[in-house]
Amino acid sequence: MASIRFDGVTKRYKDGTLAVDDLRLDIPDGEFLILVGPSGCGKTTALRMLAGLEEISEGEIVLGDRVINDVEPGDRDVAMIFQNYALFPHMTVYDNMAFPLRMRRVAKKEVAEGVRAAAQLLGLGELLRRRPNQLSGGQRQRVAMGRAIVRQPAAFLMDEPLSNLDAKLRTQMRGELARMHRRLGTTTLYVTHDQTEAMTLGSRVAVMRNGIVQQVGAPQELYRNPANAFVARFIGSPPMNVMRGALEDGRLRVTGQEDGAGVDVGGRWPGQTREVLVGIRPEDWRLGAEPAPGEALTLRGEVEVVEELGAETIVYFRHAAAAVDVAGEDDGIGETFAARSEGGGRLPAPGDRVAFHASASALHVFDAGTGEAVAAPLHAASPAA
Amino acid sequence: MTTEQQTLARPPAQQAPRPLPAVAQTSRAGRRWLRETARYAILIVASAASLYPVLWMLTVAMKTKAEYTQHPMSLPQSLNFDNFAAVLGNDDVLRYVLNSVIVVGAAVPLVTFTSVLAGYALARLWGRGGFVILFVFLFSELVPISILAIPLLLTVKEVGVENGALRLICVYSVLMMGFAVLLTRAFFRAIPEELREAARLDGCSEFGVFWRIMVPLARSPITLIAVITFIVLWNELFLAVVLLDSAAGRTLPLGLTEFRGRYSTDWPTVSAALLLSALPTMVLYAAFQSRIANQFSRSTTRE
Repeated sequence: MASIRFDGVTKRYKDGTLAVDDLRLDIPDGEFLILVGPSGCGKTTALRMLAGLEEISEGEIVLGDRVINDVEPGDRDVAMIFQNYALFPHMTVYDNMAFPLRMRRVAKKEVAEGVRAAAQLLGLGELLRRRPNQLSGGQRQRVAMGRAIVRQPAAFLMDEPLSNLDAKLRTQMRGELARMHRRLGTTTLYVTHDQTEAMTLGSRVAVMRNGIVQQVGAPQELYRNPANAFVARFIGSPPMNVMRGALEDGRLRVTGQEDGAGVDVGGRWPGQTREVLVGIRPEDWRLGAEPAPGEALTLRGEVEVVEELGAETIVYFRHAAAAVDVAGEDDGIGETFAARSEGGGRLPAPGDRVAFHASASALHVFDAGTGEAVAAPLHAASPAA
Repeated sequence: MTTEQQTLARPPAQQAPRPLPAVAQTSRAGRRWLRETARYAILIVASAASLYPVLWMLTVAMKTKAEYTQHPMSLPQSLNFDNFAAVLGNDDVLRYVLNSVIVVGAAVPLVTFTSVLAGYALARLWGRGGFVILFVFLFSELVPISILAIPLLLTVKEVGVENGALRLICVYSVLMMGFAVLLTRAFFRAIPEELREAARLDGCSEFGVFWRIMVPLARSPITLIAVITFIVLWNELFLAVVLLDSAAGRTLPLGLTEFRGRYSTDWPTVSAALLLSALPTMVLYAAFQSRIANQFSRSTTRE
């Protein structure tokens, strides 16, 4: 087992495309770190550079205490799990799992012991004589994990390992991955575009965009205290609602707010004056006729869709204040806000005009130009809020 | 609107589940019967057309020369294998067989081995340069052999290859490689890149990937190439005629032409010899028939 360090790692392709830009990331021994971002953000390239499948243009990757830039993939002591599992079709499950050990000239008896142990851990005992094409998707996924485990590598690299599974199996395998990591404690770098996996699996999450790491932190920290509007929108489902506004000497105005009096933010951004994006999580809206004491922002909109998900209900409503094309990502939401409510009370129907209220402490404020968070929102400091 | 009109107004897709009137059912069954009959009739005629010469040769091979002269088209009077025995006892024939075995026996592994190597290199390792080479292979497949024959003869003479068997091995291997490389390249391209990467990460060398992963995966195209190369080369006559100088080096197809005398031909013996010479290819094809058909229809992709 070992720590991993990306030290100013850059990947520039021949055509000049910058896939990864000055990546700096410290992954302590035993951590489960998630690299998450939209497709094309450079997360897989970063992983492949660590595996030795892509050359590193600049910077250093350190595994344990050695720089591995020029080490052959097979000598790096990392095991990778591929999105399509990459099982060898002509080999049985046993031979697939034994392959890395045989490549290392491990004695036959130890190979057998290693494979049996991994197979038992993953519940593959019955399947050892089968070929990959005789297995279901979940079983193939397990074999791929088994092939990585038997080697007892310094680190696991996983490239969207669950994305070929159906939703139910994905949830189940997510649990198994977490269990496996708890049991083995091997340093793991896990690449995904799925923010649910990012939130549930990792001890820390690094959000990437256009080759640049936007923020690294514990899942809840990213959720409560996003460093910029991109992270704010990327983490969380439905994404954070964002509207345009302005800070005028510490006073916040939200475009489209009816009374025009501005939001009383209780001195959270003293002395600040600038154009901003105002963000609010779906669960921070409260549906009601009139604002309760302490609720500083009220928007009235027309309900478009009501999604009843059982434990919670998501109400989508139109409001002209919704900022389209936040941070260059047109996610097609248009002028729609999402509000989450945990059941109870009368639900609105599509077409109803309703009022949504939020307290000032729930607001996130980002610079309209750079997208950077203007200041840490209060409720991050006091979890009770 | 009446019910009838409503029915008419419905789109045809919704009418389909209704049971058809008896007459329509009969005519549909009738059409199917007709189609099946026509299909079998065509297949039977085609099979008969290709089997007839073989069967006729079999009947001729079992006749004596006199019997053949009197009744060339009749069935033989008895099951008489003397002609086969005569062919097998003929020293010349045995020499021809030996020559063919040497030539084909060397060319088949050579073609198979080099085409697997070249196909893998072209599929995976080389970029644009590989495309040029591929184009050359493709082009070589398009030129008729009759155009190539004389230049090939001059080339082997110029290079100084005097031995007949060696000449044929060289020329045959080169000519068969075009098709073989195109086939293996297509096959290797369809294999996901991740298999190579996974093996490399597991500590396999680049050659190890080829040897332990790619070659075992390519079993069916390799078999196909070996079988097709064998069948083509075992029967090859034209280039043997052009390239061989000495009588000693004659391969089986070329040697058998010697059985035709200038003034008279011993057709029963010739038939027996031809049937015997075709035996290996027939056995080989029968043995690998299903795999060959599979390989062609599967277009080299795998899950």
